[in-house]
Amino acid sequence: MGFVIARRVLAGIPTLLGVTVILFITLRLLPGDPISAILAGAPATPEVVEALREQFGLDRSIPAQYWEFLTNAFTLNLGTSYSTRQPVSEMIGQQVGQTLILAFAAATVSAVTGIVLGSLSAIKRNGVVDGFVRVTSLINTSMPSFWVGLLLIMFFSFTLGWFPATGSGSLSTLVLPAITLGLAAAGTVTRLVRNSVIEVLGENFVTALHAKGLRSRLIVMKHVLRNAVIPTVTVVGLQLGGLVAGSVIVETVFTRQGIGQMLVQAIGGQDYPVVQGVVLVIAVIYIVVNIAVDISYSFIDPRVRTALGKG
Amino acid sequence: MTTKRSRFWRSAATVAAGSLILGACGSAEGDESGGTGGSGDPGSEATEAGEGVAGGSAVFAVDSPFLGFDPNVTAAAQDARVLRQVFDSLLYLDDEGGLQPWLATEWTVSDDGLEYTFTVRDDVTFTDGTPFDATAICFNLDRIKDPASASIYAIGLIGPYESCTAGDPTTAVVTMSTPYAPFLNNLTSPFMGINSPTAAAAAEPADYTLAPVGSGPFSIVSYTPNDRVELVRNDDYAWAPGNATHTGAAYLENLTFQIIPDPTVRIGSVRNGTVNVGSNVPETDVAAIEGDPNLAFLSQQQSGAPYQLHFNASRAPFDELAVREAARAAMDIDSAVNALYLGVFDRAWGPLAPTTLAYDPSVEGSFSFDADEAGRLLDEAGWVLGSDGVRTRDGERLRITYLEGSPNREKRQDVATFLAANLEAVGFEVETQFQQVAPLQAQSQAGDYDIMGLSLVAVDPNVLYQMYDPRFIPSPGRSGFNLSHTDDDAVTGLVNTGQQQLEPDARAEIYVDAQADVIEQVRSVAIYVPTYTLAVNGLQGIRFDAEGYPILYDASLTQ
Repeated sequence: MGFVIARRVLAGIPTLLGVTVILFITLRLLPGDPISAILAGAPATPEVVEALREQFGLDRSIPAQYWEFLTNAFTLNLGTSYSTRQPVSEMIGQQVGQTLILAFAAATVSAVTGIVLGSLSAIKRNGVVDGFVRVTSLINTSMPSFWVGLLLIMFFSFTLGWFPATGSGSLSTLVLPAITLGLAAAGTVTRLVRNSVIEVLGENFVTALHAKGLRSRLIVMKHVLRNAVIPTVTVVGLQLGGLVAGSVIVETVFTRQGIGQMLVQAIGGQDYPVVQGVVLVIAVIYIVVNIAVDISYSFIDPRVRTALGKG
Repeated sequence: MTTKRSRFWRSAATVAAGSLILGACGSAEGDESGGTGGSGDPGSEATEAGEGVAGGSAVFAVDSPFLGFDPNVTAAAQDARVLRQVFDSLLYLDDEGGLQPWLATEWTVSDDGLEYTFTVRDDVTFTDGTPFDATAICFNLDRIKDPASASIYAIGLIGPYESCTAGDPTTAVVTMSTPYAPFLNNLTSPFMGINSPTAAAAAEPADYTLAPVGSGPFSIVSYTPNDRVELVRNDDYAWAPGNATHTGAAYLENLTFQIIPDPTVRIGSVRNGTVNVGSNVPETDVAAIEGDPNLAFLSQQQSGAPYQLHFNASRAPFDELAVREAARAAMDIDSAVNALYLGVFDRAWGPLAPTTLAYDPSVEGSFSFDADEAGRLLDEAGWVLGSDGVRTRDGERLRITYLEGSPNREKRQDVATFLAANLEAVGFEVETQFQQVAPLQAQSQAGDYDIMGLSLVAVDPNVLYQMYDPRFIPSPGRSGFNLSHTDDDAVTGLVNTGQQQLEPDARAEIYVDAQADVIEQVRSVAIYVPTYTLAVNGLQGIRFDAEGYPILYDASLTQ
């Protein structure tokens, strides 16, 4: 098992290198240049422009800049933001925790909602419950999250006063953003769970269990879900990465700290070090989550454990 | 001329680079105690200045993040809203636009305009305990000039600054290499706030910008990026400027600036009392706020260059005056401004905003919307209307590129869509392009546009120099605000003499001529006056400085 994990971690390294190379080149191919973006049209003396260029290391060749980025990244030094002139690793350090908490909370909302509604829907297939669940999950998926967020704020913060509209840090500030972000993702999970449960319900072993006289609820809880949940774990795992990257809208509406906001601001202003740092962190999160998902299979399904053990 | 003159000295500052990205700041309607101006409601109870109650905490919600708080370095208008609470300046501008003493008690200018002598207060202490004296002035000016500081905005305010000597603790002598008339006005800017030399020298620049030290009524205690900056009262403060409504320490014990980007959430938070002030009020909310007895709406017109469309005269078709005139006549600016800003922003007419010194009111109504006239002008110039609705001349289509920034600050993209339709109606073929800041600058430097929008925060009409001197025509690798590519001795002469003319009346005359030239030559067409708006709940006594930045020193809770 340990060997398997080590191998997966090692396999992540070329992925990360690939991400950084592509990112480094793409950023520098974009029209415009960071110094002009900072100046935003303001005339600057050549001395100031030169001083900025030197301070940001932009006076050196792209391979030299890349090498410096790479070697520094190993020591967790991701450079200095052009716009705020702060160390990027510190900026990310301050913000990434909030994004991760939000993403995990949203993934939990998504998984729980998806599994509960999906199984209900499958068991009561083509009934009223099923119809209701299918329509609501479609609505959840289709509604833009900034709008859902605003509706929740209007109702639960401004009208009822149950949760704060803005901020990050405390649990109460997490509830509405997690629901906003989680519900959008839950639609996909619901439909997936519904389909897998229906599929598993049709399998021979379920018929056999019924024949043995087991109660339907027990069959679903103990046997069907266990089988149906594997593709769900994969999807929720993938979603988690997407939730990290896609948290920006919810972070903006709820005024939460987070790397999503940082990334969007940085792209607009071509703040290379911030974009590079945040994307690198997101890539690492993706890889870690994927490994975690793979490992989780072995806990859910003994057959995978055996296969992994052999590998 | 009296009005003009009184407005004259109300100026400061060249151009705010950061404000270009980060949005408006207000200006100059007043240092009056009611604290409102522009289209606001000065009578609203919640902001009536009076004897303030000391104590308590207030939260001021802004719409976008801060970049840093080192006045010598930063360029963002957003940052200046915090700087104004933390830093004092050498001078301030009164209601009439007259320069008044603050940290400097007296000042003289040599006849050749090259030497400024300041006498400064001897009873001021920075919040780190360092006493303020003349050497602090020299330290700050030298620090701005040092290329290692990479100052973006303040460096533009000090112009041809050469050196500074502190003969004794209360006398600083500042030398310029050429006369620079905007200098004293510029010293009133929050970006010219005086840092504690001890604190600024001791810290790394990256650390200092998060926790700078001034001598103002508040000091920064903590900053959480993308969230909030918390300020605490400076209890020893005893050197408020003369236009403040009280003396001694500020009323509020704690003052927090919170970043709430979403307008619905920001204004909703003002309504339910979670925050006391919300900036950048959506136009559609204004009527409801004004009608709510618990809330007040304040607005402050921003001085400088109002939002205007620059016509790129360096290439066809706008290299021809008749085509520029036709384009201006084709645009129904009144309707666009009324429809989009619902009376919250006023229509602008010339290259200077009404609250800027040397503003010439005669620009108002000097041209009018007339689509027929636009058509006639184009007919006369030989542009023939084709069957597809687009005019052509010698096989050339009347095609223009309208460039505007993204995100959609102050609905400028909607203005573009509206006016593009006007232009198309008279036979232009318009391509509107919306670009993020970096590609926008690249395209601007390449000169690849015919219309480009711009507004600049400034109190001094020297902003016209930035827009109409050929040195500032953008070119690859070189930025500048001369987006009309104006290279014309007449107007260049005016804006350069204006910068060196130290006599106020003569100076104002020069800028009146420059404004007339811009209108006559259709170098740019003004659209609206950017206005800083606030929704206020439970706080009174907010004032604005000459550049329109809010001052919270006199602010106090209503209960």
